[in-house]
Amino acid sequence: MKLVGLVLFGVGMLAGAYFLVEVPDLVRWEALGPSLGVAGLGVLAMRLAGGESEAAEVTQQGLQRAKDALVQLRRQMRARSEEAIPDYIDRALMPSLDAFVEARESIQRAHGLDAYAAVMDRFAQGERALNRSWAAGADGYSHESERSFAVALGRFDDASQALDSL
Amino acid sequence: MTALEGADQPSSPYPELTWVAVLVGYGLGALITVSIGYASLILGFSIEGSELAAILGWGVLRGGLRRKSIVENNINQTVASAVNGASAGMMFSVPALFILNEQYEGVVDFDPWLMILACITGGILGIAFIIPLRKQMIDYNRLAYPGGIAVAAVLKSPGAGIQKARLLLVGAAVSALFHLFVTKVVHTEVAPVGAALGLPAYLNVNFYLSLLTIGVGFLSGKGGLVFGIGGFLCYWLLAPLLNTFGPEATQAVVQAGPGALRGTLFQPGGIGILIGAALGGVVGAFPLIRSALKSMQEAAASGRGADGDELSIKVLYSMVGLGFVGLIVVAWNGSASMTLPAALGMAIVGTLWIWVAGVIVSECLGRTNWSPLSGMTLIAVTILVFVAKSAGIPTKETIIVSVTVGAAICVAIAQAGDMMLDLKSGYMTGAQPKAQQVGQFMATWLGPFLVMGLIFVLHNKYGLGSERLPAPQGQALASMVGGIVGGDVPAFRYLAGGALGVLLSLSGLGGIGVHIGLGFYMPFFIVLTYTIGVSLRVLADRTKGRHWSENSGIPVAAGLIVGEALVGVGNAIGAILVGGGS
Repeated sequence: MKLVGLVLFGVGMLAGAYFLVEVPDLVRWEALGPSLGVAGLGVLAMRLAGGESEAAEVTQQGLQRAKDALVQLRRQMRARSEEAIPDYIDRALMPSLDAFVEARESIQRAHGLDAYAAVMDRFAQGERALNRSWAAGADGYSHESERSFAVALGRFDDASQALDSL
Repeated sequence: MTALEGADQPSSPYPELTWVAVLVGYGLGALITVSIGYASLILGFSIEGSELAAILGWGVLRGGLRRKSIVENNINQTVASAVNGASAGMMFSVPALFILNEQYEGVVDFDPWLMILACITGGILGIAFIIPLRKQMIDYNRLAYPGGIAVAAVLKSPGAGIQKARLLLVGAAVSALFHLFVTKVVHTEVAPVGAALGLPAYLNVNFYLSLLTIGVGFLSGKGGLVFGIGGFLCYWLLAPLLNTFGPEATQAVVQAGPGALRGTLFQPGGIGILIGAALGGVVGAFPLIRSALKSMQEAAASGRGADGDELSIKVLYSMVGLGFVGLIVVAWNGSASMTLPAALGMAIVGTLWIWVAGVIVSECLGRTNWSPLSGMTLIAVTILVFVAKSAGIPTKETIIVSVTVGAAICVAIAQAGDMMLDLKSGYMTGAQPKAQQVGQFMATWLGPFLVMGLIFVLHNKYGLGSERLPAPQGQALASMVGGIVGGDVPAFRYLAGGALGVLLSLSGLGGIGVHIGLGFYMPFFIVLTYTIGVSLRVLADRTKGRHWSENSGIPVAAGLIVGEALVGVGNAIGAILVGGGS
């Protein structure tokens, strides 16, 4: 179904692009209209195919990866030793951050845009605070660096809670 | 050297929005604005000043004033690039009045103070409108903003370790030398590979000799591959098809070469696709935008920032209201024949278009680092001319008031894009959005005064539109305004492109509409070179791994952007020195 939708969409759009630029002084709407109609049918077919079970399974796996990444990230932040914060962020935390970012779109697919926004709002606040912790640490403002590190952890806790509550 | 060596202020407040940062930003911004503004009157394009401001700020704040704060330097570059935002906006629009004076005598007698007010008003509106979309574009959708990444890499270089700093410097040096070689020795920035291979001209196999463009492609990552699709579709599929099956008139356009193809067919279609895709994208992303606004409104109601540091939504609403009233005042005073309904109509159109175009430009910058500023301004001026003509305003006054309000819109769009780029670099350095937003507002007033003064000084000495100072962007807008006044607008193609754009945005293939629209709109030689950068990133991710790309590839790519930008500004300063002595 999805493949059919994609083919209809592709063919319709290619024809539409051709008729968009076919004549210098006008657009032949009688040719462009049906092309866009075919593309529209393709969009409809792709959207209907969005809920197929195979896609749902992949989404669930992605969702689990996002949850695992947040758990791992928070565990590592709590386990920080005496290592300088910027070095620790670069070495220990970046892989978990990247893993969450890679898997984040599964939240949207599984629970919709509102839920995605709720989780990402908190995650982004946490990531920005972590970046501030890095910058302040690199500049030698260790108090601000520690404070921002703690803020980041709190925001990631919130993000994790928001994700678990979905 | 470890990151904490040299630490000396463990418990002091971390400097961010300070008067030192703002004043240094004003100074550097003025320098960059005059340099880049002058260069754009000769070269025909503007240069984003953020990287230069960050580097100069590093030297002034860290080297000269012994201040050590990445986020304070981020405010400096935010302020400086906001001053320069006026240059990008005004140098495209205002010179058109000087050039049109030959055809419509008297249009040069516009009120410069009103123009300054218009551009300040536009700047405020552009910033106020785009700030609420920060969360949607940066926090939720995580758009790449390659320019913002490059600035962040410069800002963070003092603490990023010697290896990354070295890679950034190597990239910058290579790019600077290459750009010098291209501009001073080769004297052409496009390599005509297709002609050398004997391929038809309409296939447009030409490469932009720009390592900056390769760097931008690398920073965009695999998502940037889609950017090429629009260009490939135009020149490698549609052009051959049109050449074979198209009507005779179209075949003539194809045979005239890529310039005619782009100007007549692809660019107007691309503008339509961009508008349709952006509007469809806004509708599709409505839940995200609503969440962002809700978050800001809750913060305003509770008396805190959304996350402790976001500018209040009430302040932004006030700014929009103030800007709207400002546009009414500008339109009302822009013509002696102006009626209140027409002034109101122009202000409504202007305000709405600032929002729409701000979204389009910010999304384009976020996905590809290129901005369709000129196309968006062209549409704005087209609509404004239509409104003014419908109100029965004489042609000369129609041109003056449309270009004046159009300049406000152009500055607004430039400021919106710059704000988003700066907020991205701020995100990556951990800056407080509110501090940056305040810094951007604090700098909006300065650029219009500087650029207006520069324009009059240069016009009195050389004459805008002369061989010495061709003002290519102003020439383009002037010829378009002439066409619009004469009723020659390809509105049918904008509309058809818009329909394609809406469908693309509904496809669920994230951002494909904006990418394809830009592919139609942009010169293909840029697309080809950009695709090299994207391909290198994909190849590096696959063969060397993401860790290598992020720790070695990205610093080099950021350096490529910085090096070429610096030489561009250096060339501009050189042009000023040469100009002053002639």
